[in-house]
Amino acid sequence: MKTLVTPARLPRVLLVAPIVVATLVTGGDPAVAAEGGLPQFDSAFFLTQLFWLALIFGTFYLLVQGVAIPAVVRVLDARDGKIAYDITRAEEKRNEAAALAAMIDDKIIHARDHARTILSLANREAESVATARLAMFDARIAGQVRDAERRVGHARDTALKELPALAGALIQEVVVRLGETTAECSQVSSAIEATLNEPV
Amino acid sequence: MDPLHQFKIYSLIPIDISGGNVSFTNSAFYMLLAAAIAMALIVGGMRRRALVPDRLQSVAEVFYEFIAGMVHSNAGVEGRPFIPFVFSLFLFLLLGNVIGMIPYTFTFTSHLIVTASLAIVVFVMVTLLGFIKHGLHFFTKFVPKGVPAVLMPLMIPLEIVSYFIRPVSLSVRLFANIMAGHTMLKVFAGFIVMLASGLGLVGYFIGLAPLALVVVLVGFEFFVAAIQAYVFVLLTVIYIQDSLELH
Repeated sequence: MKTLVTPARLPRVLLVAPIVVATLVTGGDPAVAAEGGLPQFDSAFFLTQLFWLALIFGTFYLLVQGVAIPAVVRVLDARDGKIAYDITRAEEKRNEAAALAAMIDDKIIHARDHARTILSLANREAESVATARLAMFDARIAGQVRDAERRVGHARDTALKELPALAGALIQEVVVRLGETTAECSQVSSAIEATLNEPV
Repeated sequence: MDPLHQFKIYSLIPIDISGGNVSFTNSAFYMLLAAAIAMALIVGGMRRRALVPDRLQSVAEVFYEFIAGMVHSNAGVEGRPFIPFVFSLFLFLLLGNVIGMIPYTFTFTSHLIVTASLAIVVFVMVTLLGFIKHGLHFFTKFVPKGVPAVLMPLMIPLEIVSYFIRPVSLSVRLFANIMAGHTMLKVFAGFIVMLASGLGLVGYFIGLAPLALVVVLVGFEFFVAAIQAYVFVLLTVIYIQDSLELH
């Protein structure tokens, strides 16, 4: 019984029920109902009502089950399928895009780090080179300065030594030019010596 | 005019099968019309099969989703095989009621024999479903849970009676609503005619009152037509769920 009368087949099986009702109800007298009572209870037409109801509703139900509803379900399922498919594809694309964006960000970060490393290395190198050259130049300059100072010292010493003789000659010249006397070199030099050795 | 005259059945094409009258009556004609319009609506609407529906396809889809939603929320996944039956029942009754609102047509749902047949089909189907699914355990349906044993002799007959009264209430509800509504419409319309023809000019003005009432009643009857079809079908689904789950 279970396999024969499945729930889906039940409505078809049971459209015979109205015929049963007809046989139960048509016990009444048709004439009375038609004259005095409601037309609804005019049993003369019960059989025709039941027959045509069973036929029309039965056919309608079979057509709905076989044709109408599958037509609706087909479109509804197609629409749901397309929407679901579109959503999953959009999701996929979004994830792809996110992954790509993440990768790009990653690459940029790496590149920046790399650049920074190179920059710092170059900086350090340049610094060391600069310090070395600076030191070298410092040394050279210091050497030159020492040399110059030595020369200057020499020149000063020399100048100081020659100063009295030079001054004597100059003064002798001046005195001669002034024309008074011909002074003695030795007198002039001793005078200069005395002046030079005066406490300042 | 006799207000009950509108319910009279005439045979349009007399057919006689071995003494039994199975002629094609006005009732049968309107049943055929309702079924034909329903088929045209659904099949015609879905003809284009567009993913973005046009108006008619939208209507067909809305009807289907309304019924499918109702079956799903009440009976769950197990109720799926019953969607075609519930759907055809709903459209048949709805269109039968609504077509009956057109003047000079016949409303086949105003006959008890028609509504009772449909109600009995539903009742027998639901009972058989219960037996097929639960076997003899189906009878535990009449033993309500959480009731002290002392009340059982009272509760069980009560439950049995309320179960067997289902086809009666289902059929009489639809039949009485439609018949009473149409009878009232006829009676008040008759008043207008009687007042206008009987009292002359004064009658015309007094007749405005039943006229207003008839206008309101027509609107109300359309509402009742839709609601009664819906209630019939909703109760069918609830009875199906009741048999599937027993409590």
